[in-house]
Amino acid sequence: MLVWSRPARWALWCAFGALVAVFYGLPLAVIALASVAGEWNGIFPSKLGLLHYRMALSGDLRDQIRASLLTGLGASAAALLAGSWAALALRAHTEAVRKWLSLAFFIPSAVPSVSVGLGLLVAFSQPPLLLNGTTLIVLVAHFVLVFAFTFGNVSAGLHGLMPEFELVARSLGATPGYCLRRITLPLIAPQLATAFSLSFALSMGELGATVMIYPPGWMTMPVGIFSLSDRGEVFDGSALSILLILITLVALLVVARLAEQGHDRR
Amino acid sequence: MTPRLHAAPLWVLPPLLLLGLVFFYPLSLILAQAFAPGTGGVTGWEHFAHILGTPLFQHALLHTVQIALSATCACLLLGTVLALLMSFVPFPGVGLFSRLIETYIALPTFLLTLAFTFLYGSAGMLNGALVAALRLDAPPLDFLYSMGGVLLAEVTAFTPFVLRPLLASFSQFERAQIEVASSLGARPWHIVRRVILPAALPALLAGGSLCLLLTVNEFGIVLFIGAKGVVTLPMLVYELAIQEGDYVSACSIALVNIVISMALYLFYKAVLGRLGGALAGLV
Amino acid sequence: MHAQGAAAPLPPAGGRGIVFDAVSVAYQHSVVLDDFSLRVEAGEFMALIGPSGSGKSTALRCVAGFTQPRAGRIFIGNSDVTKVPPYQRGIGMVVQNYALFPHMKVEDNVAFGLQAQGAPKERIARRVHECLRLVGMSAYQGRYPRQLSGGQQQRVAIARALAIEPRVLLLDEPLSALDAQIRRAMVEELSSLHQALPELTVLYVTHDQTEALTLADRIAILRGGKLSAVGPSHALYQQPPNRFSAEFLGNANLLPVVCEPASDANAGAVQFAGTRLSTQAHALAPGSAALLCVRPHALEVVDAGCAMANVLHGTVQSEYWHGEQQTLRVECAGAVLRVSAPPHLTLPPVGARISVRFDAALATVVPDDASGSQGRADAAL
Repeated sequence: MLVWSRPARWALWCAFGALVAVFYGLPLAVIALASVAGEWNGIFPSKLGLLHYRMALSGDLRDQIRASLLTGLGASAAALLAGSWAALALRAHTEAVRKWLSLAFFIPSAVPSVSVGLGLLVAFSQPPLLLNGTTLIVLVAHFVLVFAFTFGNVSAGLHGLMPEFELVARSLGATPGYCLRRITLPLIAPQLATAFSLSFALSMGELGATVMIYPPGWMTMPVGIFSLSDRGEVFDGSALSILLILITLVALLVVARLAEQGHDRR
Repeated sequence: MTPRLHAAPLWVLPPLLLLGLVFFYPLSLILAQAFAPGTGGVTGWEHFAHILGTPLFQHALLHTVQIALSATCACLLLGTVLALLMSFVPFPGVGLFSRLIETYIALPTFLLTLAFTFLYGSAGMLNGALVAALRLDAPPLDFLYSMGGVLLAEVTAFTPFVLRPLLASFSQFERAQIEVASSLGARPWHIVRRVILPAALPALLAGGSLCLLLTVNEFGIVLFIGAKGVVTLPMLVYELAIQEGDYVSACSIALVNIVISMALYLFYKAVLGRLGGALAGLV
Repeated sequence: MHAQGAAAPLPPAGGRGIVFDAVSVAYQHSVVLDDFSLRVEAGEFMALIGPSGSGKSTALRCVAGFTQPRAGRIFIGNSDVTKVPPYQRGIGMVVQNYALFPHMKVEDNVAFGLQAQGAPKERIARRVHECLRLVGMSAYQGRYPRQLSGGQQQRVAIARALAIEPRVLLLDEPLSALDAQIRRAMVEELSSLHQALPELTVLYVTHDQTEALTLADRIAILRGGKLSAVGPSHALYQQPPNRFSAEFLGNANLLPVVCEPASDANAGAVQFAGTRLSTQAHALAPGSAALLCVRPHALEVVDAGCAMANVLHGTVQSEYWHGEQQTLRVECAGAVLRVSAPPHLTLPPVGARISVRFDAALATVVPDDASGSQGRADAAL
């Protein structure tokens, strides 16, 4: 409704299409192409095939996929639990206390990921808390990095929840635990789902802290992709990247669908 | 708020203590290490000041600020153009494009660099096409492994973060204002400049400050580009700690990085506070 | 009072008039305006009224240029503006929720149009001053819209539209968002504005008949995307050309009657429940079924023994008193009549017999077609 002449509108749509295609369409397309390329000597690749995917799904690279998935699921689950706990617990406090504690819970997202990794290295490299060199330290790092997002999402969900629901439930005789389980959490299920999927996506793509602390047997996909590209094996790296993108998107979709179903059942 | 409705206040302690252990405690150690006394009787402060004075650190700081500011400006520009087109010159299927751009938010940033190697690298498609078309001897474009490459990747990666608040703001924009402005004789560009953009200022500030925060802390893209001359603060921390094992210097630089980052974050939160509501979930 | 079929192409109205020439508008597969033709004379105040979805706002937006007709043409003055973009049509527009630019002061809002068109600064300052004075908002020129009430904002919106010296002024339900009391005051202000600017053509869309009857020189009634009736306000009210206009514009009692031959050329006659009633002249054939339209306030309560013409006898069904008048429902030979009586009159109680009469000059006969096809209350276009 801003532009009235058809030629001007078409010109703008073409410009828009070109911008989006060049900036956002091309990179994805090119990585997808590279993941199935046998050789790439000229402008376009040749000998297309699934060789690189077969490589990715065997041996070392399969371990990386496993490491990323477990770290992602574990860290997101822990962060969802802790974030929801914190958000729920904060409701019992006054406005002022809530403001400061909220700030404390949000601060981890204000710190660069490399520094989080560095901090963990410095703090847990000696007994009694020797985590350096274990897989647990990777989980802890991812947990710290995604915690603020789960806390933020769940807080927003609770904020938008009408207090009347819980008041009526309690007046009908429900204990706090029952009310939490049957009323509060189901009503904020969409936000819980979003929190989990967002955390998972962030964890899957995390590089800065992971590269500082990962133990030899627990290389995640991003670290793996980096080391492949560093060695010049860019095609294998592309295949792994496509797998990373697919896993992330599938997880997002599945969680979104689950949240929808939960919504419909109500 | 009825006190009986919610759990006892002490329930907030477990997550707080957990966060204290895995985040605040390491953070305090970084602080301590940054000011650790050096060898030969050099006090913590002197050591810290010395590191801040090295050319290595100052170049990294300069690059970090340069990249952050330029990338943020470019993101704001590209984001505004895209948001204006999507909101006010809509076409069927505009929602799909919106989804495509938003999925990039969920994807790791360094993948873009990988894609750019194929697109803009010396053996990439663009150079290949130019060499073939213009019959050149050598690939003409060599901007990828430099600050230009970093900027291009960061602009692509972070424009969606400007796009989202802008789209949200524009979707609530009163359409009648545009129609009335049109009837008063204003051409489209005049309307954009004097009616739409002033109303979008809060969203631009929110998106811009978020962009600044993200670009200052960006690590994956800089790592993947691996350009010799382009070192940012996060990269420097990584190199010092992992490649050289110099934890004290790493902590000093990390401290500066953290302080800048926190300042930007608090600024972003302040801007959000004035915008409120719809953008709460962005964090 | 004849329905006019497809007219010959309408001549331009000249000056600053508006002409709709067989305009059709469709969204997806639903037709919003269907072969709509109307002519608004220069300097005229024309109201477009009709139920929701009748296409009146769409017709307005066609003149403004925000909606493209699928067929037909729009003229403003002598020029065909169908393909012209809105910012070149020379129209002023006022909408229901004011749409003042929130980040600009009142004076900047009013100045916006002239600034956008690159007018010299002195002219802008002069026009802003004049227009704010015209709407009585000079004292508020430094304020922001959020500091003004609804009525004040709407006045600024009107000043903003007038500042560019438009050829026509379009108003889309401008008073709907205001409180009833403010609305009454604004109706009077709009009326004086129209008198102060006699050359300005005004097209006014509303669903409120009182506004239309008070403000408009002519009223056009739309229904289902088509023009149902058009004519001067008085004529349209007193002699509605069809059933729909009779019911839509003002309240109407519609009695099923059978037409009878008239006693003289200036009168008409119908038969209802065995009684012969005289009406205004009508052109319907004797013996055909029709509807007698009598407004509630045209019915007078009389004694049972009244010897005048046009007396109907019935039973009181219900009575309501509401301050300025009383309303009765009278059952009469199977039909229900609504009667408006003055507030001080003593009425027979519910269930009692009552007699009412009406003047022949206040009774119209309309054809009994439920579609309310196109009709004109004035013979000339």
